[in-house]
Amino acid sequence: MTTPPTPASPDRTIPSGSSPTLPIGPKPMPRRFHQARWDEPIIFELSTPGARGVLPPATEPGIIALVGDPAAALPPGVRRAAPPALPELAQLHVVRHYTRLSQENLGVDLNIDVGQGTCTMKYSPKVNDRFARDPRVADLHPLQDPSTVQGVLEIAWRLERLLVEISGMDRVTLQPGAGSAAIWANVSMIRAYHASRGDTARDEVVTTIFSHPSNAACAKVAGYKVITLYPDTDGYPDLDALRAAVSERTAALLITNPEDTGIFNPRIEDFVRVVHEAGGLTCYDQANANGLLGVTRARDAGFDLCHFNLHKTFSTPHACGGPGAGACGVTAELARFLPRPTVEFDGTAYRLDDDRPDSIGKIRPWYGVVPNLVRAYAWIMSLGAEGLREVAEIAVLNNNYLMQRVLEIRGLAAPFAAGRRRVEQVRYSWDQLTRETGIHSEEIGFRAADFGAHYWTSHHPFVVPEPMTLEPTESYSRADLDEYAAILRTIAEEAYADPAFVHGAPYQSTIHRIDHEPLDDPERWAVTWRAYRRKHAAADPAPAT
Amino acid sequence: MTNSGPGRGRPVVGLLVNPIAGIGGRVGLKGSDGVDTVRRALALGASPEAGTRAASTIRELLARWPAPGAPPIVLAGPLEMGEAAAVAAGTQPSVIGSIVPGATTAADTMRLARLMAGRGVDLLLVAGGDGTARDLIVALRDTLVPVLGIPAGVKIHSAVFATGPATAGAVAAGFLALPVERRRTEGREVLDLDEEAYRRGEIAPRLWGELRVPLERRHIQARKAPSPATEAAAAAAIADEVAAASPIGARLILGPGSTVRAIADRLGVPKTLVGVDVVEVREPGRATLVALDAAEAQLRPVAAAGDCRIVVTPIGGQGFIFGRGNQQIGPEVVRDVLRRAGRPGIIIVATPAKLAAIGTRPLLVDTGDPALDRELAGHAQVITGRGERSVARVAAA
Amino acid sequence: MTDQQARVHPYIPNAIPDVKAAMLAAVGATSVEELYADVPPSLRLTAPLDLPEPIRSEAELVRHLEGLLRRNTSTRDVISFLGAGCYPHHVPAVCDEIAGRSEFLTAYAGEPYQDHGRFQALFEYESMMGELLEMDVVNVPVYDGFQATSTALRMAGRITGRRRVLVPASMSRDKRSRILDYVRPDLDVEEVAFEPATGLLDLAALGRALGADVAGVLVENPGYLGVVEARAAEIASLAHGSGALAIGDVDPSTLGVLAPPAAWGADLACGDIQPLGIHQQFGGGNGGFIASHDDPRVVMEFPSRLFGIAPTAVPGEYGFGDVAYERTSFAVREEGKEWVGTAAALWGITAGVYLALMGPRGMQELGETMMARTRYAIARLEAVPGVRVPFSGQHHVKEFVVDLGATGQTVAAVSRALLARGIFFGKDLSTEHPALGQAALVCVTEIHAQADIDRLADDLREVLR
Repeated sequence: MTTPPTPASPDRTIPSGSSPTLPIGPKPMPRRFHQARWDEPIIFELSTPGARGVLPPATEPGIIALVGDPAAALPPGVRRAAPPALPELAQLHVVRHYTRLSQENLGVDLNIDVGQGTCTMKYSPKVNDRFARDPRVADLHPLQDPSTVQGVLEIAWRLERLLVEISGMDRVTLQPGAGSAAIWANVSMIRAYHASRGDTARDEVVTTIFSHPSNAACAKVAGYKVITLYPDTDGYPDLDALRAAVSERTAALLITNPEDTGIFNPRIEDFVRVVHEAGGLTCYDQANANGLLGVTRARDAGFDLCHFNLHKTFSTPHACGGPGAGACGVTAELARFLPRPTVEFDGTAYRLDDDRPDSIGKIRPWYGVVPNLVRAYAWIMSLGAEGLREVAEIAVLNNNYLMQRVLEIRGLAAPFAAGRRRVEQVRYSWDQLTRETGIHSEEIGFRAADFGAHYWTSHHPFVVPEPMTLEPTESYSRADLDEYAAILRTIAEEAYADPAFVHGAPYQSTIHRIDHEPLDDPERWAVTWRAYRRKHAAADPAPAT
Repeated sequence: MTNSGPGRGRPVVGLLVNPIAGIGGRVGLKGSDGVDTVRRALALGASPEAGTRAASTIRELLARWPAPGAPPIVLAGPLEMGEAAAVAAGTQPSVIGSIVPGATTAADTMRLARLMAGRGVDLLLVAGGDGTARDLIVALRDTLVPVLGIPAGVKIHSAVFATGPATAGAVAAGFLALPVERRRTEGREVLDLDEEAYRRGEIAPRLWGELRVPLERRHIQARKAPSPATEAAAAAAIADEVAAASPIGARLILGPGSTVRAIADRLGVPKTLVGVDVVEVREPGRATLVALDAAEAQLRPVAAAGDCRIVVTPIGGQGFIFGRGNQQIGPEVVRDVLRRAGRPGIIIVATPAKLAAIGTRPLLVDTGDPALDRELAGHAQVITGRGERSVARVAAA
Repeated sequence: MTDQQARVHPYIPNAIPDVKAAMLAAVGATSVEELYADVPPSLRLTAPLDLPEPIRSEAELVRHLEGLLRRNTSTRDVISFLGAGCYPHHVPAVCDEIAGRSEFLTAYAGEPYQDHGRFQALFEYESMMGELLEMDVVNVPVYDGFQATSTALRMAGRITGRRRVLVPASMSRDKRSRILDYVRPDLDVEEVAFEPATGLLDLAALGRALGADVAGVLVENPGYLGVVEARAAEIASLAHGSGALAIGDVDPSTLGVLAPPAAWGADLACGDIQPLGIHQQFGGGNGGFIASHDDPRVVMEFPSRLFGIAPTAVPGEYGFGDVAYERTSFAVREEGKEWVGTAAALWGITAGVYLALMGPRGMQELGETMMARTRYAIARLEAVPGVRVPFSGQHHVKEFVVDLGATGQTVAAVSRALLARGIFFGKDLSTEHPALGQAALVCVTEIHAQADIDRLADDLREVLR
């Protein structure tokens, strides 16, 4: 809307005319949250010419004496003509600005983060951050002589072994930067495998609509045609559909299990068999592994490849969208295609083996997101086999408990698999509430911001109408889950009672409802402050930088 | 489409209520066309719902209006054809046209719609069912008025209806609050069933055409996946794929629907929106027209000779690929193609959004030959983009 | 109660037996087993995973990791001249502080309401990079510079509709491997030789390689071998003459002193942000940027997220969101669409903090002092008997090639000897670029004091004796 509603009166949550007494009354549920709101300008607007944030070392006189100023010898056109128009701030002001911005986020440390379904927003232990920041991790160069980095090589090697056991596969690589990069690595290895056998007719990959979209996307980028299976009416992957899709052109099946609906495919072994019979490989996207650790393994279902997201299942922090880390597991037959170098141990020392002629090569510079490998290693070592099993069981228990609580809410349903348990997440539908109130799922998400909560709908396209995907993980307490359910209940009741109010949310967040129109208009969109100033400066009274 | 109505600067929304829409459903009658049915329904104690729903919509529209002091102007049909609903919603409408109260017919709907279009309403809200939507196609033939349906009928197959009265009000508010140049619409299909045939248990549905419906611009969380393609881009990608896969000399029987029309565009041939057309590929990616708006009799010889393929897309919200709006592609035509080309001779296309809207329900076939329907049932591959296919279930309706 | 039950793991609150039992009762299950009903028995593990004994107490976990980390030698404890794509710059304390704030560290991909701070921080990163690059559109970071380069090449292919791309033969073997793996379905990659005398791209070879089927010419500046590509403008001009795009693959830490790609005619810019306030982390600190001018046709080909500024319901408030979310409305050719995933956002924020701390003068001083120290190192090493710097006549910023061929010793042997003296010598190029012989790539940045460089020269002289 271009002429938006005026926000509701400040803080509806505080009743007027109340007088304070002791004992202090109980806190209401949901709580009266207000997000940090600094109304912080863009950093360029805080600039003062001449201010300095940090000084680089000045060139020593002894150096100048010998070489002068080489920069001055750069020809015009090669030398930068004018300094870049970066903002100029004193150090404190940089600290303050970014500290304020940091407050305007809701990470796991701050909110009951069950609303970011499929992301597995579990606790990232602080002790693991200490290891990652240690100079003996943070200040290592990847090309140092192996004798000087035996510690980190051993950690990587051990982590590979742990993941081999957890997945049942034969070899693991920790090179991928995150989940989609791991899927890419797997697809690339699949491509190399078939090429090595001269099997060039295989140009199709099969996946499902509820698998992560990166499975289809990576396959396409790798040059495959993609066939996407729709589930049966009960939301389970459809084996007959798979049979109809598989042929001598099938290179691989890429499937997430459980899918993003939280439904485990009980016929997963049949899926593997059908594809193997057709000569294809099978690849298990284990982004949703959190409910299955120690319960079932990729290899036992017959998969040839799998991948994990270390920033999901294995607790490394999500960091605003990365860096994460990915791990691929493969059978012995496929190990020769693994990205190079691999980490090897000869009984005495660890080394990197770059001499791998069949390798798909590099999927990123160097060896992997090492600080996260250290974190994941420490997390697994802290828990052990029993601990991982406990993680899975409690994640599943939490999920089914939360499902029970939220399904008490009017207007909400959990489509598919009626009466059956889910694994670690559930995709719900607010379709009934939307029909009855006109409030859409994403608007419930915007109102959730007023309660300090995250919320996510689904990947596209929305097969489940008006979707919401919740994933509790093992990190949250029963009280946390009750509180999140209470938040959703409150918003649903508001939607029925006063939909216009919900429509205008959020009110207690950092900012108010955004008008996204300009972001699609080439004349008005601005990805940088310089573009914004160029297109809109005439109308913008802000001081020029 | 301009603000030429009264109160320049405030958008004008037309409100048209089909007072007997849906009247039959509650008492077990199928649909409400025909004066006899209406009388029977009223005798059975049915009460008109359309007016109540229209009032809900207007109430919602006004509640969400961002400038409470300057709400849209409501231009309503007289009495039970809009005025009463607007008043019930708490607003004072302008009224256009005249009727005989208690004895309104489809002709009134069409006449009033045309009057409102002539007055330049920014949006026409219509409470009714598929029959009402059909009437609007006829009435609004030469206009560009955006229409949004308030569902109030038994048969609501057309995609021109909002999911409920409240949603209709919300969409209307969002649409009208935008400046004219930023309001976007898209064509949506209108399907209807022949009333008598439907009641007899026979069905002879027809694709009547398209109405322009507000395209709701909602913020979609595009977080971990690439942004979704617009329908137009998705249709163009499908067209690319089909064009690339069609060899020279192939004849394509192109069914109705906008996704199939995109294929025709790509091949450089004209296409009727609601009819079945035949084209022949002459060079890679280019075709010539063989028959426009063909009847079944014209399709038979095409199917019986040479490399012939059928291209169809799911029609309507229920996902029929045969039997709704394309009955010209009769069972003999389908059999002939199957005989020569097997299943690959039937090319099903659908954008990802279309398939997602059908969800996990199967695509439906109703060719008129139950044995053929059973043969077609099972799983079929649907082309959803360049190098992209889906596998969907197909079932006999 | 077993020991296990008495000491519930701190990461799993609902493992407390009473709580677990109550929740099971609440969902009407007698055991967790029932919740796994859909997992077939044939797939169920019957024994626990064979993993090492858990280290459940934090103190012991710290001790365990300490035992491993002790066997690493950090570059802080030696003098390291290693670069080659992972660079030893000073990381300001403020960068560590902000990158370590748990509000950023534990946030993810929420909406621009719940996570407004992250959107603003990334918009500011895009904006500061935009100034550094003199381009209006910069993406939210992708995984690393290799990915950025690979994607930029594919973008060139999509924009021009052509299949061939030209890349410098001097490029790192690892980068070339990654590019080939990624672009193969869409593009054919061809190398253009460099002049053996100068290390610069061979313009004549480029001219012969260009044709009507070339989508893009990749210009690394500085090149992998450290040489500033002083004729970049000419290269861009030649590329444009054939209708190809010019892609500038650059090190952002050099852009305080070198002209940015836009200034010499590049249509796209790409590279890695690791030098901007991000620790080396054994190669685990990369982030890739791609930038362009504000041409909608180009913008539509970005596969990554682009955060833009938008108004909100309240005047004066800044909101942010995804630009052009219907990005494919221009790009009908779906086969080119890549993917978006968790990548390197926090490094983007950190790079923004770095650029804000450094400011225009800081970046300029950084570039100037790196050039001076590098030139000093070149001069000192050239003076060591048997040591040649083959491209010393060219401009360098932070890396240069050293040729030990005349010494009769291999780079590997020299490196080992220097290692014993507490120096990490430059990258051994002998297998990667055999034509250069026993050559090494030596990196010098603002952290290398004159005394460090003198040490290198003196110890090298000793070792070669």
